Amino acid sequence: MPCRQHGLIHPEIDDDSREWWDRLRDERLSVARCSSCGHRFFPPAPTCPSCGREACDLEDVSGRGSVYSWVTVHRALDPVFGDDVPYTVLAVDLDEGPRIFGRLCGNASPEAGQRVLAVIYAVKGQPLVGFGPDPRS
Amino acid sequence: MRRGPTSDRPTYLGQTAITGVGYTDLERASRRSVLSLALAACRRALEDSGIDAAEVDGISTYSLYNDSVAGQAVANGLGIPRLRYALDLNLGGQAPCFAVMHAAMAIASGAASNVLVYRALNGRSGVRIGSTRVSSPSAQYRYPMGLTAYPQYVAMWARRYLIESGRSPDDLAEVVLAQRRYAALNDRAMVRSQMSKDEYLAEPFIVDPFRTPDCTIEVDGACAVLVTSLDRARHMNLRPVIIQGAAWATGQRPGTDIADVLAWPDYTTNCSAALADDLWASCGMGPGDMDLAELYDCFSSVPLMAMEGLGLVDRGEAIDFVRAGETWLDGALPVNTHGGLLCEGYLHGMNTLAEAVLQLQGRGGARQVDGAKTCVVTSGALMDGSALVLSVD
Repeated sequence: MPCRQHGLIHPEIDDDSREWWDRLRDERLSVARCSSCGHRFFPPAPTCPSCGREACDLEDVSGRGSVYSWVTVHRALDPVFGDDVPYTVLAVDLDEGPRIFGRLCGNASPEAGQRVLAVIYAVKGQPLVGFGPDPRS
Repeated sequence: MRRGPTSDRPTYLGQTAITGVGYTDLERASRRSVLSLALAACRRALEDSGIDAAEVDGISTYSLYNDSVAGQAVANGLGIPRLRYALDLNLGGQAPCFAVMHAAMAIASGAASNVLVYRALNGRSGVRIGSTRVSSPSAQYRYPMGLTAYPQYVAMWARRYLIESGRSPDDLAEVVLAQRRYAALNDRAMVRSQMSKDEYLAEPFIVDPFRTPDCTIEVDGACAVLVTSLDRARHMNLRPVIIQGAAWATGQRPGTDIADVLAWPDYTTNCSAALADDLWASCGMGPGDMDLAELYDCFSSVPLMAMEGLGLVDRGEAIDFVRAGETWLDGALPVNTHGGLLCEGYLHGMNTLAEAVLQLQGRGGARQVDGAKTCVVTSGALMDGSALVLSVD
């Protein structure tokens, strides 16, 4: 399922996020996991937002999840995306727990609870996460 | 929502009041500096209160993305001889009730006597929040794919709210139509035309589920209020509006900055729900005691969440409540009597608070709520926010 995106704002990658983006470049979608309390969360951070401890490592996930919410942008509020409208961004609850935003890949209308599968695609060399229908569902 | 510690009624409440208010014109292009706007609104708030700038010893404001001027600059311009209290909050619409709450604490504790609270910005001709690209650690998880601005973040929450309420985007029309009806009675409102449901449905989507009229109108302008002790307020020009209840709150996982909406677990409940228990406990009143409500509404879904979050209506019932006319002047709870930020313009909720003061002082004109004695005001749309319960003396 292609994810057609023209515009791009390059991510401002920092020390807390570099490994996550590096994994994405290797086509691995990951979330953070606290080895102290087991809580999985996204985005990665120096400490666990559940227990506050520092023992957080990235863990690859299946990319499967359910649609929690979405918006369809009709007027680009940043001109970079002027050639993209309309486009849909999903909030997806990954099966492993955390929520993540990603473009809807393909033309189908989203539905609440719809099963989706992550697609890693590149725009101007920058890998990004999108979601298409989960063929298993 | 998981709850932390709660407290008994804070001791500073019930002892302070808002007296006067001041506005500049609200315009698309003010052609004047933000400092000049701030000074004009503050001077008018002082004139309204009937006190001299020399009596002011505290000043408080809030701004986002360097879109305003610091309190010190305004104190300088007003000729305030001795400032003892100044607070510049790096916040947007979550701030106005919190700034007044903080001023009340300062006054009740003796740290200050008379505190001006203002918001000033060239929000249309200058820095436009709705399309400003900001540097923040959270931006890298939404900007690259085109999720770049508040209308889109709030729309993401609105969609989930509509899903869980069993509603469609078209139902947001109820809020717009109701507030347009009030705006027709408000000389200050940027938009004063009433709107039919058909006209609403014909408006283009900015970001589905929000059409153009679901979004506030960015403006140039300023608004200020004066906070003082209840004793002093009783000797000023106008009926004191007593600060009876106040709360600021967020919940667990509020994100790393005010636009970091991703990790908040439940998009159908916002800061209003997080602060409700503290707010009602702080004043010993409840939702049923309110005569009206002025609820922050940068977008049409936000006052719905506030009504439900504060317990003014049951969960999932806010749209029906508005549709039934219960938020109009003769309804069970008039809401956003100035037409809201949707119609009056986006002074980041300072004008929402000022409208509450006007109503409780009986200065609402054609949109006056008869016999209004109590009002709840909210500030904020997303994870963190503040609220006040105000009453007549």
